[in-house]
Amino acid sequence: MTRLARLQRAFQHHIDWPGAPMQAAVAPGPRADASRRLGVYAEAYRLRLVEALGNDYPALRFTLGEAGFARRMREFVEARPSRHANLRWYGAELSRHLARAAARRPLLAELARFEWALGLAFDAADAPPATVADVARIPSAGWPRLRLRLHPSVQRVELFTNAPDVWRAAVRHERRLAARRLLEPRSWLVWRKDLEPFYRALSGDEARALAFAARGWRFGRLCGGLRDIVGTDQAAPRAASLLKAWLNEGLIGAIE
Amino acid sequence: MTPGPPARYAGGPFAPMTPLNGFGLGLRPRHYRAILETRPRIDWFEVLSENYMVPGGRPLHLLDRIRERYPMVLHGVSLSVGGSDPLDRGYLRQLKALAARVQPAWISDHLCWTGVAGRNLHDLLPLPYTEEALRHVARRVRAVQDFLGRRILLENVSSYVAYRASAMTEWGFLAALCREADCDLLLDVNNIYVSAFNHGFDPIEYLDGIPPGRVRQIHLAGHDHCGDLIIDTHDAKVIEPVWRLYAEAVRRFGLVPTMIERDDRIPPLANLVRELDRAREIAAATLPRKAA
Repeated sequence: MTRLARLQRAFQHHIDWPGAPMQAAVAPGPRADASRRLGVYAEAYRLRLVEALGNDYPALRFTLGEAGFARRMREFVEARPSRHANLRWYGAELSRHLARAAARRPLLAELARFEWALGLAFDAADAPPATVADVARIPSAGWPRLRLRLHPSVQRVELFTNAPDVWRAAVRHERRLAARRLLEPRSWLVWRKDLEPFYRALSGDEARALAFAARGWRFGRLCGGLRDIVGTDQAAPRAASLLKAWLNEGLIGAIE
Repeated sequence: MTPGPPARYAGGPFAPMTPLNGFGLGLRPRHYRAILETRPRIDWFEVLSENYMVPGGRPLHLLDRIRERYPMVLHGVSLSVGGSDPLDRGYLRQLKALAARVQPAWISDHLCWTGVAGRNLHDLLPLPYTEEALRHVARRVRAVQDFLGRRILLENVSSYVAYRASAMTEWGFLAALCREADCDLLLDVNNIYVSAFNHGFDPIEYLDGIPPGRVRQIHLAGHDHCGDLIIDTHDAKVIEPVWRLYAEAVRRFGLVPTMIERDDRIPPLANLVRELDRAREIAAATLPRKAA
């Protein structure tokens, strides 16, 4: 290892553990000693990451309050050092972290998961959405072989709490809503249309149909999958009405 | 702008940089609407590369719209050109793809390291100014330039520590690096002021040690004076001593493209445009008038 690499490892270790030996490598300054000078970096590291998380998770920050949020996020920073070139992706593991670190408050992990999904929808890859007119051009005999490609921003999120309601109250109305656990999980759709992230609840059959589409099933097979849920008579009309709604909402990126 | 001094580096040759003139601002999301609706009198924008290294959506959409109206330069914070981990090829590929989209006049990053052992501390950490570090950084700058197919600019960072191992000054290191790697400089005048206070050197001596032909861009910013240290916060107006130092820089380096960098407590765009006018006035007052 080069002298430069050794110095950098020692410095990084000192940022992680501000008591670690490093002062001897630092020249004295005109007004501040080595400990004070090094301390600027250790503190700035934590502040910067907590601030970035606050930008990615505004509803979680509001829900926890500034002090509570800073405490929880500092725990995350200590547990999960960044390995991302881009700070944009640093918060990806927060929900998983909170599921363990705040297991008694499942709302926190689910709120984080929901906010992260909205963020992913915000800057997911672009794709011009397919339209009803695109499908109308296809002869009906060809429909069973159609394959729907969901827009890159489309995500399905299954939640056991009222996290979307808590998010809405916090971000739209600056109001704290009490956490509520559901008896059954609820599926939510998150996506982007016209550059804006959207979300809405999914019914059971629609959630399954979207899952089929996400797996790349052809439309005929998707109808077959729906048959088990809504019955033989309703499968085709239900699939057709879902397809129309998805096209109108910009959920379909391409039809093959 | 005159070309840099002859370089020992045999790489390249790189195409001449796109000319860029005048006074710019850092592009910040808070100002998107004002920029598109009011078309402010700003000559160009500096874009934080990492903010647009995303798959798609609104950030890239607005970047494209603003690019249609204004020249741009790219400015990164994650190159870690002084780091001892291998260069991040994935990051460089993303940077090259963004440059193909934006067609910037140039690409810059910082003379610093950002983490080791796979970590990113998301900070601009200072290097020891040693022969070993010089050889290391020069080799990496050359590799980056070869990959991007263009010369890059490196910015002097604000620092709070200096190392006992350093055997040369920061300005001596920068001058040597320009020679060794055939790179150019983004001179942050505020950072010189901040580091001069924190380490007790003369900022004029710093400016005198910088090779004039290498300075392609200048940054101006505000900071936080804590008594024993100055912290480079980019959250306040440029202070008078930094404006005076800017005039000294203009005297030495000429009319170099100059911008104000504001990252926190970002005021309305009109306020920054007014502050930028101060830079225009100082540059005009400092430079000798051309004969009619």
